[in-house]
Amino acid sequence: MEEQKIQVKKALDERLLLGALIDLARKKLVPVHKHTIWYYMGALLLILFMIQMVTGPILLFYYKPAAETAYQSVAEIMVKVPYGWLIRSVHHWSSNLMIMIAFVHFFSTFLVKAYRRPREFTWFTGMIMFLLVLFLGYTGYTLPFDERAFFALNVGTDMPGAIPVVGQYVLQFLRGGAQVGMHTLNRFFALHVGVLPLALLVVLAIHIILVQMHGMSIPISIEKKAREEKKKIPGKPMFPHFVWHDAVNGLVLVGLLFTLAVYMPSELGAVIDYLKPAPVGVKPDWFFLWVYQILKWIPTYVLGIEGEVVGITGLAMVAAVIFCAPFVDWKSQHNERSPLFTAFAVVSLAVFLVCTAIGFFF
Amino acid sequence: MKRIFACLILCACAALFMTGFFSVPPVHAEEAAQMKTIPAKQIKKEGAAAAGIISREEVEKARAVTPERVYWLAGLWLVILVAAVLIRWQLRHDNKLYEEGYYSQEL
Repeated sequence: MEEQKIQVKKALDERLLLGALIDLARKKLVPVHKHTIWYYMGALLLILFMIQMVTGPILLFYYKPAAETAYQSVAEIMVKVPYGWLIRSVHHWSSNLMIMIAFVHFFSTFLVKAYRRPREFTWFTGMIMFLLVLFLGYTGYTLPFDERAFFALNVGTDMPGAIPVVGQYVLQFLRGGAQVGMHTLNRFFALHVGVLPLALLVVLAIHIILVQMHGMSIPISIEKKAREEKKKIPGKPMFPHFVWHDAVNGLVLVGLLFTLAVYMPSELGAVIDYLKPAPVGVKPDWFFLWVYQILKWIPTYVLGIEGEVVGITGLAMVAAVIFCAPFVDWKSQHNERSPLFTAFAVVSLAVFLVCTAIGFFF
Repeated sequence: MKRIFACLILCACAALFMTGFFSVPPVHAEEAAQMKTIPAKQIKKEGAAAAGIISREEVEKARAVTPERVYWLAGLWLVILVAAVLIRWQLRHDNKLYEEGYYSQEL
Protein backbone atom coordinates (compact mmCIF):
# COMPACT_ATOMS: atom_id res chain seq x y z
CA MET A 1 0.00 0.00 0.00
CA GLU A 2 2.84 2.37 0.95
CA GLU A 3 4.71 1.57 -2.25
CA GLN A 4 1.60 2.28 -4.31
CA LYS A 5 1.14 5.60 -2.48
CA ILE A 6 4.73 6.56 -3.29
CA GLN A 7 4.25 5.60 -6.95
CA VAL A 8 1.08 7.69 -7.26
CA LYS A 9 2.85 10.63 -5.59
CA LYS A 10 5.79 10.28 -7.98
CA ALA A 11 3.48 10.13 -11.03
CA LEU A 12 1.56 13.25 -9.96
CA ASP A 13 4.75 15.09 -9.09
CA GLU A 14 6.26 14.34 -12.50
CA ARG A 15 3.18 15.57 -14.36
CA LEU A 16 1.84 18.39 -12.18
CA LEU A 17 4.99 19.43 -10.27
CA LEU A 18 2.99 19.08 -7.05
CA GLY A 19 6.15 18.44 -5.07
CA ALA A 20 7.61 21.74 -6.22
CA LEU A 21 4.38 23.57 -5.30
CA ILE A 22 4.25 22.02 -1.83
CA ASP A 23 7.94 22.80 -1.37
CA LEU A 24 7.29 26.44 -2.30
CA ALA A 25 4.34 26.60 0.10
CA ARG A 26 6.43 25.07 2.92
CA LYS A 27 9.34 27.47 2.29
CA LYS A 28 7.05 30.50 2.17
CA LEU A 29 6.96 32.01 5.66
CA VAL A 30 4.17 34.18 6.98
CA PRO A 31 5.31 36.68 9.62
CA VAL A 32 3.74 36.17 13.04
CA HIS A 33 3.03 39.38 14.95
CA LYS A 34 0.07 41.32 16.36
CA HIS A 35 -1.20 42.32 12.89
CA THR A 36 -1.11 38.79 11.42
CA ILE A 37 -4.92 38.63 11.52
CA TRP A 38 -5.12 41.00 8.51
CA TYR A 39 -3.23 38.47 6.39
CA TYR A 40 -6.32 36.22 6.34
CA MET A 41 -8.47 38.69 4.38
CA GLY A 42 -7.00 37.79 1.01
CA ALA A 43 -7.81 34.08 1.36
CA LEU A 44 -11.37 34.90 2.46
CA LEU A 45 -11.81 37.03 -0.66
CA LEU A 46 -10.51 34.20 -2.81
CA ILE A 47 -12.97 31.73 -1.24
CA LEU A 48 -15.88 34.12 -1.82
CA PHE A 49 -14.77 34.71 -5.40
CA MET A 50 -14.74 30.94 -6.02
CA ILE A 51 -18.28 30.71 -4.58
CA GLN A 52 -19.35 33.47 -6.99
CA MET A 53 -17.76 31.59 -9.90
CA VAL A 54 -19.84 28.51 -9.00
CA THR A 55 -23.21 30.12 -8.20
CA GLY A 56 -23.04 32.69 -11.02
CA PRO A 57 -22.98 30.21 -13.93
CA ILE A 58 -25.78 28.19 -12.27
CA LEU A 59 -27.95 31.32 -12.24
CA LEU A 60 -26.89 31.98 -15.83
CA PHE A 61 -28.60 28.73 -16.91
CA TYR A 62 -31.97 30.23 -15.98
CA TYR A 63 -31.62 34.00 -16.20
CA LYS A 64 -32.95 35.66 -19.37
CA PRO A 65 -31.13 38.94 -20.05
CA ALA A 66 -33.85 40.89 -21.84
CA ALA A 67 -36.01 43.72 -20.53
CA GLU A 68 -39.27 41.73 -21.02
CA THR A 69 -38.06 38.49 -19.43
CA ALA A 70 -35.36 39.37 -16.85
CA TYR A 71 -37.78 39.97 -13.98
CA GLN A 72 -39.85 36.85 -14.60
CA SER A 73 -36.77 34.68 -15.06
CA VAL A 74 -35.50 35.78 -11.63
CA ALA A 75 -38.97 35.09 -10.16
CA GLU A 76 -38.87 31.61 -11.72
CA ILE A 77 -35.40 31.00 -10.26
CA MET A 78 -36.82 31.87 -6.83
CA VAL A 79 -40.04 29.87 -7.13
CA LYS A 80 -39.70 27.05 -9.64
CA VAL A 81 -36.02 26.08 -9.87
CA PRO A 82 -35.08 23.56 -7.12
CA TYR A 83 -32.86 25.43 -4.62
CA GLY A 84 -32.94 28.43 -6.93
CA TRP A 85 -33.77 30.66 -3.94
CA LEU A 86 -30.65 29.29 -2.16
CA ILE A 87 -28.27 29.69 -5.11
CA ARG A 88 -29.48 33.23 -5.75
CA SER A 89 -29.30 34.16 -2.06
CA VAL A 90 -25.81 32.65 -1.68
CA HIS A 91 -24.69 34.57 -4.76
CA HIS A 92 -26.20 37.79 -3.40
CA TRP A 93 -24.77 37.45 0.12
CA SER A 94 -21.35 36.27 -1.00
CA SER A 95 -21.11 39.39 -3.19
CA ASN A 96 -22.00 41.57 -0.19
CA LEU A 97 -19.52 39.76 2.06
CA MET A 98 -16.88 39.98 -0.66
CA ILE A 99 -17.32 43.75 -0.90
CA MET A 100 -17.28 44.12 2.89
CA ILE A 101 -14.09 42.05 3.26
CA ALA A 102 -12.58 43.93 0.29
CA PHE A 103 -13.12 47.16 2.25
CA VAL A 104 -11.49 45.59 5.32
CA HIS A 105 -8.57 44.31 3.21
CA PHE A 106 -8.15 47.71 1.53
CA PHE A 107 -8.19 49.71 4.78
CA SER A 108 -5.93 47.25 6.60
CA THR A 109 -3.29 47.30 3.84
CA PHE A 110 -3.61 51.09 3.58
CA LEU A 111 -3.14 51.55 7.34
CA VAL A 112 -0.12 49.22 7.65
CA LYS A 113 1.44 50.79 4.53
CA ALA A 114 1.66 47.48 2.68
CA TYR A 115 1.99 49.48 -0.58
CA ARG A 116 5.63 50.48 0.11
CA ARG A 117 8.58 49.17 -1.89
CA PRO A 118 8.74 46.57 -3.44
CA ARG A 119 4.96 45.96 -3.34
CA GLU A 120 3.78 48.91 -5.41
CA PHE A 121 2.33 46.74 -8.19
CA THR A 122 0.62 44.48 -5.67
CA TRP A 123 -1.10 47.66 -4.43
CA PHE A 124 -2.07 48.78 -7.95
CA THR A 125 -3.52 45.38 -8.87
CA GLY A 126 -5.32 45.29 -5.53
CA MET A 127 -6.89 48.71 -6.13
CA ILE A 128 -7.98 47.71 -9.64
CA MET A 129 -9.59 44.55 -8.23
CA PHE A 130 -11.34 46.59 -5.54
CA LEU A 131 -12.95 48.78 -8.20
CA LEU A 132 -13.86 45.73 -10.29
CA VAL A 133 -15.52 44.07 -7.30
CA LEU A 134 -17.55 47.21 -6.56
CA PHE A 135 -18.75 47.39 -10.16
CA LEU A 136 -19.50 43.68 -10.21
CA GLY A 137 -21.69 44.26 -7.17
CA TYR A 138 -23.43 47.19 -8.82
CA THR A 139 -24.00 45.49 -12.20
CA GLY A 140 -25.30 42.33 -10.54
CA TYR A 141 -27.74 44.35 -8.45
CA THR A 142 -29.33 45.73 -11.63
CA LEU A 143 -29.90 42.42 -13.42
CA PRO A 144 -33.29 41.50 -11.88
CA PHE A 145 -34.51 44.68 -13.60
CA ASP A 146 -37.05 45.36 -10.89
CA GLU A 147 -38.09 48.84 -9.69
CA ARG A 148 -35.08 49.22 -7.40
CA ALA A 149 -32.67 48.11 -10.15
CA PHE A 150 -34.28 50.51 -12.62
CA PHE A 151 -33.76 53.51 -10.34
CA ALA A 152 -30.24 52.31 -9.48
CA LEU A 153 -29.49 52.22 -13.21
CA ASN A 154 -30.89 55.73 -13.66
CA VAL A 155 -28.96 57.26 -10.77
CA GLY A 156 -25.80 55.19 -11.24
CA THR A 157 -25.45 55.97 -14.94
CA ASP A 158 -26.39 59.62 -14.33
CA MET A 159 -23.38 60.18 -12.06
CA PRO A 160 -20.68 59.52 -14.70
CA GLY A 161 -22.61 61.98 -16.87
CA ALA A 162 -21.41 64.70 -14.50
CA ILE A 163 -17.73 64.06 -15.36
CA PRO A 164 -16.41 67.09 -17.23
CA VAL A 165 -15.79 66.71 -20.99
CA VAL A 166 -16.34 62.93 -21.38
CA GLY A 167 -19.35 62.57 -19.08
CA GLN A 168 -22.05 62.37 -21.76
CA TYR A 169 -20.08 59.83 -23.83
CA VAL A 170 -19.64 57.63 -20.75
CA LEU A 171 -23.34 57.95 -19.96
CA GLN A 172 -24.35 56.99 -23.52
CA PHE A 173 -21.89 54.07 -23.50
CA LEU A 174 -23.23 52.69 -20.22
CA ARG A 175 -26.89 53.15 -21.11
CA GLY A 176 -26.68 52.18 -24.77
CA GLY A 177 -28.68 55.34 -25.50
CA ALA A 178 -29.97 58.46 -23.82
CA GLN A 179 -32.39 56.64 -21.49
CA VAL A 180 -32.24 53.50 -19.41
CA GLY A 181 -33.90 50.66 -21.27
CA MET A 182 -33.32 47.21 -22.75
CA HIS A 183 -29.93 48.17 -24.18
CA THR A 184 -28.78 49.20 -20.71
CA LEU A 185 -29.69 45.81 -19.28
CA ASN A 186 -27.88 44.02 -22.13
CA ARG A 187 -24.72 46.05 -21.51
CA PHE A 188 -24.81 45.55 -17.77
CA PHE A 189 -25.35 41.84 -18.29
CA ALA A 190 -22.34 41.69 -20.64
CA LEU A 191 -20.27 43.61 -18.10
CA HIS A 192 -21.38 41.44 -15.18
CA VAL A 193 -20.92 37.98 -16.72
CA GLY A 194 -18.14 38.64 -19.24
CA VAL A 195 -16.01 41.74 -19.10
CA LEU A 196 -15.66 42.32 -15.36
CA PRO A 197 -15.10 38.67 -14.24
CA LEU A 198 -12.52 38.15 -16.98
CA ALA A 199 -10.69 41.34 -16.04
CA LEU A 200 -10.86 40.33 -12.38
CA LEU A 201 -9.40 36.88 -13.11
CA VAL A 202 -6.45 38.34 -15.04
CA VAL A 203 -5.66 40.98 -12.40
CA LEU A 204 -6.15 38.44 -9.59
CA ALA A 205 -3.60 36.08 -11.18
CA ILE A 206 -1.04 38.91 -11.36
CA HIS A 207 -1.83 39.95 -7.79
CA ILE A 208 -1.38 36.41 -6.40
CA ILE A 209 1.91 35.92 -8.30
CA LEU A 210 3.22 39.22 -6.91
CA VAL A 211 2.17 38.30 -3.35
CA GLN A 212 3.96 34.94 -3.66
CA MET A 213 7.07 36.64 -5.07
CA HIS A 214 7.35 39.40 -2.45
CA GLY A 215 5.86 37.64 0.56
CA MET A 216 3.77 39.37 3.20
CA SER A 217 4.46 42.96 4.11
CA ILE A 218 5.44 43.63 7.72
CA PRO A 219 4.21 46.87 9.33
CA ILE A 220 6.90 49.52 9.79
CA SER A 221 6.39 49.64 13.58
CA ILE A 222 7.00 45.87 13.90
CA GLU A 223 10.12 46.03 11.71
CA LYS A 224 11.49 49.02 13.63
CA LYS A 225 10.89 47.34 17.00
CA ALA A 226 12.63 44.16 15.83
CA ARG A 227 15.61 46.23 14.59
CA GLU A 228 15.86 48.18 17.88
CA GLU A 229 15.63 45.03 20.02
CA LYS A 230 17.97 43.19 17.65
CA LYS A 231 15.43 40.36 17.42
CA LYS A 232 14.28 38.53 14.32
CA ILE A 233 10.58 38.41 13.44
CA PRO A 234 9.24 34.86 13.78
CA GLY A 235 7.55 33.25 10.79
CA LYS A 236 5.41 30.17 10.34
CA PRO A 237 5.22 28.20 7.10
CA MET A 238 2.31 29.01 4.80
CA PHE A 239 1.75 25.24 4.48
CA PRO A 240 0.48 23.69 6.65
CA HIS A 241 -0.15 26.31 9.39
CA PHE A 242 -1.77 29.15 7.52
CA VAL A 243 -3.53 26.87 5.06
CA TRP A 244 -5.24 25.19 8.06
CA HIS A 245 -6.16 28.58 9.52
CA ASP A 246 -7.56 29.67 6.14
CA ALA A 247 -9.53 26.41 5.94
CA VAL A 248 -11.19 27.01 9.33
CA ASN A 249 -11.91 30.65 8.47
CA GLY A 250 -13.33 29.56 5.12
CA LEU A 251 -15.63 26.99 6.74
CA VAL A 252 -16.98 29.55 9.22
CA LEU A 253 -17.45 32.03 6.37
CA VAL A 254 -19.43 29.44 4.36
CA GLY A 255 -21.58 28.72 7.43
CA LEU A 256 -22.25 32.44 7.90
CA LEU A 257 -23.04 32.80 4.20
CA PHE A 258 -25.62 30.00 4.20
CA THR A 259 -27.14 31.31 7.45
CA LEU A 260 -27.68 34.69 5.82
CA ALA A 261 -29.05 33.00 2.69
CA VAL A 262 -31.59 30.97 4.72
CA TYR A 263 -32.71 33.69 7.15
CA MET A 264 -32.49 36.68 4.78
CA PRO A 265 -32.96 35.33 1.24
CA SER A 266 -32.64 37.71 -1.71
CA GLU A 267 -35.59 39.94 -2.39
CA LEU A 268 -37.28 40.74 -5.65
CA GLY A 269 -38.71 44.25 -5.86
CA ALA A 270 -41.81 45.43 -7.70
CA VAL A 271 -42.14 45.25 -11.49
CA ILE A 272 -40.91 48.38 -13.25
CA ASP A 273 -43.47 51.05 -14.02
CA TYR A 274 -41.71 53.30 -16.52
CA LEU A 275 -44.19 56.11 -15.92
CA LYS A 276 -43.71 56.14 -12.15
CA PRO A 277 -41.28 58.73 -10.73
CA ALA A 278 -38.45 57.62 -8.45
CA PRO A 279 -39.81 56.97 -4.95
CA VAL A 280 -38.78 59.53 -2.31
CA GLY A 281 -35.66 58.42 -0.45
CA VAL A 282 -34.47 55.87 -3.00
CA LYS A 283 -30.93 54.93 -2.05
CA PRO A 284 -28.10 52.95 -3.64
CA ASP A 285 -26.84 49.67 -2.21
CA TRP A 286 -24.84 49.93 1.05
CA PHE A 287 -21.38 49.98 -0.57
CA PHE A 288 -22.17 53.22 -2.43
CA LEU A 289 -24.08 54.89 0.44
CA TRP A 290 -20.98 56.86 1.45
CA VAL A 291 -20.77 58.41 -2.05
CA TYR A 292 -24.51 59.13 -2.02
CA GLN A 293 -24.28 60.80 1.41
CA ILE A 294 -21.26 62.94 0.52
CA LEU A 295 -22.94 64.12 -2.68
CA LYS A 296 -26.11 64.89 -0.71
CA TRP A 297 -24.19 67.27 1.55
CA ILE A 298 -22.63 69.25 -1.30
CA PRO A 299 -24.70 72.35 -2.24
CA THR A 300 -26.33 72.52 -5.68
CA TYR A 301 -23.71 75.00 -6.88
CA VAL A 302 -20.21 75.57 -5.54
CA LEU A 303 -18.47 78.70 -6.84
CA GLY A 304 -20.68 78.58 -9.91
CA ILE A 305 -19.90 74.93 -10.68
CA GLU A 306 -22.54 72.20 -10.37
CA GLY A 307 -22.28 70.56 -6.95
CA GLU A 308 -22.41 67.04 -8.40
CA VAL A 309 -19.41 67.80 -10.66
CA VAL A 310 -17.46 69.18 -7.69
CA GLY A 311 -18.35 66.14 -5.60
CA ILE A 312 -17.43 63.55 -8.19
CA THR A 313 -14.22 65.37 -9.15
CA GLY A 314 -13.26 65.68 -5.47
CA LEU A 315 -13.88 61.99 -4.80
CA ALA A 316 -11.95 61.05 -7.94
CA MET A 317 -8.99 63.15 -6.77
CA VAL A 318 -8.98 61.45 -3.34
CA ALA A 319 -9.15 58.06 -5.10
CA ALA A 320 -6.20 59.08 -7.30
CA VAL A 321 -4.12 60.04 -4.23
CA ILE A 322 -4.92 56.69 -2.62
CA PHE A 323 -4.09 54.83 -5.84
CA CYS A 324 -0.76 56.65 -6.10
CA ALA A 325 0.03 56.22 -2.37
CA PRO A 326 3.32 54.38 -3.10
CA PHE A 327 4.59 57.50 -4.91
CA VAL A 328 3.01 60.11 -2.65
CA ASP A 329 3.95 58.61 0.73
CA TRP A 330 7.70 59.29 0.65
CA LYS A 331 8.40 58.38 4.24
CA SER A 332 6.92 54.90 3.99
CA GLN A 333 9.00 54.22 0.91
CA HIS A 334 12.06 54.76 3.12
CA ASN A 335 10.56 52.55 5.84
CA GLU A 336 9.97 55.51 8.14
CA ARG A 337 6.79 56.20 10.07
CA SER A 338 4.39 58.37 8.12
CA PRO A 339 1.89 59.98 10.55
CA LEU A 340 0.34 62.20 7.85
CA PHE A 341 -0.68 59.24 5.70
CA THR A 342 -1.79 57.27 8.74
CA ALA A 343 -4.04 60.19 9.67
CA PHE A 344 -5.32 60.33 6.08
CA ALA A 345 -6.13 56.61 6.20
CA VAL A 346 -7.88 56.93 9.59
CA VAL A 347 -9.93 59.93 8.36
CA SER A 348 -10.88 58.05 5.14
CA LEU A 349 -12.05 55.08 7.20
CA ALA A 350 -14.02 57.33 9.57
CA VAL A 351 -15.67 59.20 6.69
CA PHE A 352 -16.59 55.91 5.00
CA LEU A 353 -18.11 54.44 8.19
CA VAL A 354 -19.93 57.59 9.29
CA CYS A 355 -21.33 58.40 5.83
CA THR A 356 -22.46 54.81 5.29
CA ALA A 357 -24.17 54.76 8.71
CA ILE A 358 -25.90 58.10 8.12
CA GLY A 359 -26.97 57.07 4.61
CA PHE A 360 -28.35 53.81 5.98
CA PHE A 361 -30.25 55.10 9.03
CA PHE A 362 -31.42 58.54 7.94
CA MET B 1 -8.09 6.17 17.07
CA LYS B 2 -9.38 9.68 17.92
CA ARG B 3 -9.05 10.74 14.29
CA ILE B 4 -10.87 7.67 12.95
CA PHE B 5 -13.68 8.34 15.42
CA ALA B 6 -13.81 12.03 14.41
CA CYS B 7 -13.86 11.10 10.71
CA LEU B 8 -16.78 8.73 11.36
CA ILE B 9 -18.68 11.50 13.15
CA LEU B 10 -17.93 13.86 10.25
CA CYS B 11 -19.27 11.31 7.75
CA ALA B 12 -22.42 10.79 9.87
CA CYS B 13 -23.03 14.55 10.04
CA ALA B 14 -22.42 14.90 6.32
CA ALA B 15 -24.91 12.08 5.68
CA LEU B 16 -27.55 13.82 7.86
CA PHE B 17 -26.95 17.07 6.05
CA MET B 18 -27.12 15.41 2.62
CA THR B 19 -30.45 13.68 3.37
CA GLY B 20 -31.96 17.10 4.01
CA PHE B 21 -30.33 18.54 0.92
CA PHE B 22 -31.56 15.77 -1.39
CA SER B 23 -35.05 15.40 0.08
CA VAL B 24 -36.44 17.41 -2.82
CA PRO B 25 -37.37 14.92 -5.58
CA PRO B 26 -35.57 15.53 -8.88
CA VAL B 27 -37.52 17.31 -11.58
CA HIS B 28 -37.71 15.31 -14.81
CA ALA B 29 -37.22 17.16 -18.09
CA GLU B 30 -40.87 16.96 -19.14
CA GLU B 31 -42.04 18.30 -15.78
CA ALA B 32 -39.45 21.06 -15.57
CA ALA B 33 -40.46 24.70 -15.54
CA GLN B 34 -41.00 25.89 -19.08
CA MET B 35 -39.34 29.27 -19.21
CA LYS B 36 -40.92 31.30 -21.94
CA THR B 37 -41.52 34.88 -22.92
CA ILE B 38 -45.14 35.68 -22.25
CA PRO B 39 -46.31 38.48 -24.62
CA ALA B 40 -47.92 41.53 -23.04
CA LYS B 41 -51.05 41.03 -25.18
CA GLN B 42 -51.56 37.57 -23.68
CA ILE B 43 -51.21 38.94 -20.16
CA LYS B 44 -53.76 41.67 -20.90
CA LYS B 45 -56.15 39.13 -22.42
CA GLU B 46 -55.82 36.27 -19.92
CA GLY B 47 -54.71 38.06 -16.80
CA ALA B 48 -51.39 37.55 -15.01
CA ALA B 49 -52.22 34.31 -13.17
CA ALA B 50 -53.60 32.49 -16.23
CA ALA B 51 -50.65 33.55 -18.37
CA GLY B 52 -48.29 31.86 -15.90
CA ILE B 53 -46.78 35.04 -14.48
CA ILE B 54 -45.24 34.47 -11.07
CA SER B 55 -46.55 37.01 -8.60
CA ARG B 56 -44.58 38.73 -5.83
CA GLU B 57 -46.65 36.78 -3.28
CA GLU B 58 -45.32 33.52 -4.70
CA VAL B 59 -41.77 34.90 -4.55
CA GLU B 60 -42.30 35.95 -0.93
CA LYS B 61 -43.63 32.45 -0.15
CA ALA B 62 -40.48 30.93 -1.70
CA ARG B 63 -38.37 33.19 0.56
CA ALA B 64 -40.05 32.05 3.77
CA VAL B 65 -37.91 30.40 6.45
CA THR B 66 -39.25 26.85 6.88
CA PRO B 67 -38.36 24.20 9.52
CA GLU B 68 -36.75 22.05 6.76
CA ARG B 69 -34.38 24.86 5.88
CA VAL B 70 -33.45 25.45 9.53
CA TYR B 71 -32.83 21.69 9.97
CA TRP B 72 -30.64 21.65 6.87
CA LEU B 73 -28.70 24.69 8.14
CA ALA B 74 -28.20 23.07 11.53
CA GLY B 75 -26.78 19.99 9.74
CA LEU B 76 -24.42 22.19 7.78
CA TRP B 77 -23.15 23.91 10.95
CA LEU B 78 -22.64 20.51 12.56
CA VAL B 79 -20.47 19.40 9.61
CA ILE B 80 -18.55 22.71 9.78
CA LEU B 81 -18.03 22.35 13.54
CA VAL B 82 -16.68 18.80 13.31
CA ALA B 83 -14.43 19.71 10.37
CA ALA B 84 -13.12 22.75 12.28
CA VAL B 85 -12.39 20.59 15.36
CA LEU B 86 -10.47 18.08 13.21
CA ILE B 87 -8.47 20.87 11.61
CA ARG B 88 -7.72 22.42 15.01
CA TRP B 89 -6.38 19.06 16.23
CA GLN B 90 -4.10 18.88 13.20
CA LEU B 91 -3.02 22.51 13.78
CA ARG B 92 -2.20 21.75 17.43
CA HIS B 93 0.00 18.86 16.26
CA ASP B 94 1.70 21.12 13.71
CA ASN B 95 2.18 23.87 16.30
CA LYS B 96 3.90 21.37 18.60
CA LEU B 97 6.28 20.52 15.79
CA TYR B 98 6.82 24.25 15.23
CA GLU B 99 7.69 24.76 18.92
CA GLU B 100 10.10 21.82 18.77
CA GLY B 101 11.89 23.61 15.97
CA TYR B 102 10.75 21.35 13.14
CA TYR B 103 9.34 24.22 11.06
CA SER B 104 10.42 27.43 12.72
CA GLN B 105 12.54 29.88 10.91
CA GLU B 106 12.99 33.57 11.38
CA LEU B 107 12.54 36.26 8.84
